[in-house]
Amino acid sequence: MEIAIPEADILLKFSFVVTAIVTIVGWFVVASMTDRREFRKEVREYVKDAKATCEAVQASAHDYWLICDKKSAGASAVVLKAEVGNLARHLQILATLGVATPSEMMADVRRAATGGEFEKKGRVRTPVDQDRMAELAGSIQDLISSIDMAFYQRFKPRTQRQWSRFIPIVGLLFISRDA
Amino acid sequence: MDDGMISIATDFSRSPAGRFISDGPASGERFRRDFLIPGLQRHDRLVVDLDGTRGIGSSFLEEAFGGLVRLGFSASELMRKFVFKTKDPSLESEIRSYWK
Repeated sequence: MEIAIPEADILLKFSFVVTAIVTIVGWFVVASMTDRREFRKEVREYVKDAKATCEAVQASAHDYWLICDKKSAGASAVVLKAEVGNLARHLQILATLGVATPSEMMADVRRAATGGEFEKKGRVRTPVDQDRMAELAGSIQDLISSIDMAFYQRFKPRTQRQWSRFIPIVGLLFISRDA
Repeated sequence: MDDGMISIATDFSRSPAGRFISDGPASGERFRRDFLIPGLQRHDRLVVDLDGTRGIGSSFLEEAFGGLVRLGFSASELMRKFVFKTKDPSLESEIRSYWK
């Protein structure tokens, strides 16, 4: 294969311009890639926090529905509502960062965690509470899957977005055609 | 169009809790009886601010808003008349799911 080589004097005449352009473009590329990488790290931290809050909701719900007695039910309910609110806030922050999940999923989690006889005076435990925990676990799994999907939609894996790696090949094709 | 405005946190309670009046003074049933039904009767449109509370349980929401359907209000009327003000969109979608 023959590769076209422009005349040496033209290259020498404009070499400083080419070098400067390549350097400046390189700075921009490196800066934008660094920004993107740092932003991705920050968002991943929020995703981790949201998942930890999901576990906290599950633990608080388990405590309220299956463990606590009548005396501690009030305090346990307050903790559970706070954890549910905390999860909702995390999801709002993620949505503003471009990792949005359907609001119905959060509603499903809240409904499973604080629905039915939640905060009922003199509530007694029934076998239905076990079903509620299973429902909550399912809702939380759905929510976590949705968060992960949204995250990888927002930050696509390298193989799906790096169209720029084809530039040298296309460039070679053009050069060989001109020659 | 005549708009009414209700804030759960400022007009009712910062800690709404429970389903029935027997569960406590800040229950969903009481909120529905004292605020939502009179508001719907007086106004063409009712704006409900859901923010500012210490957390709202689904039992409260279901009894307060879902209970309106059980009392005879039609789902389409409720969908049309209610406007929700909240930073948490899941609260609105949950309430509207009770009317479907």
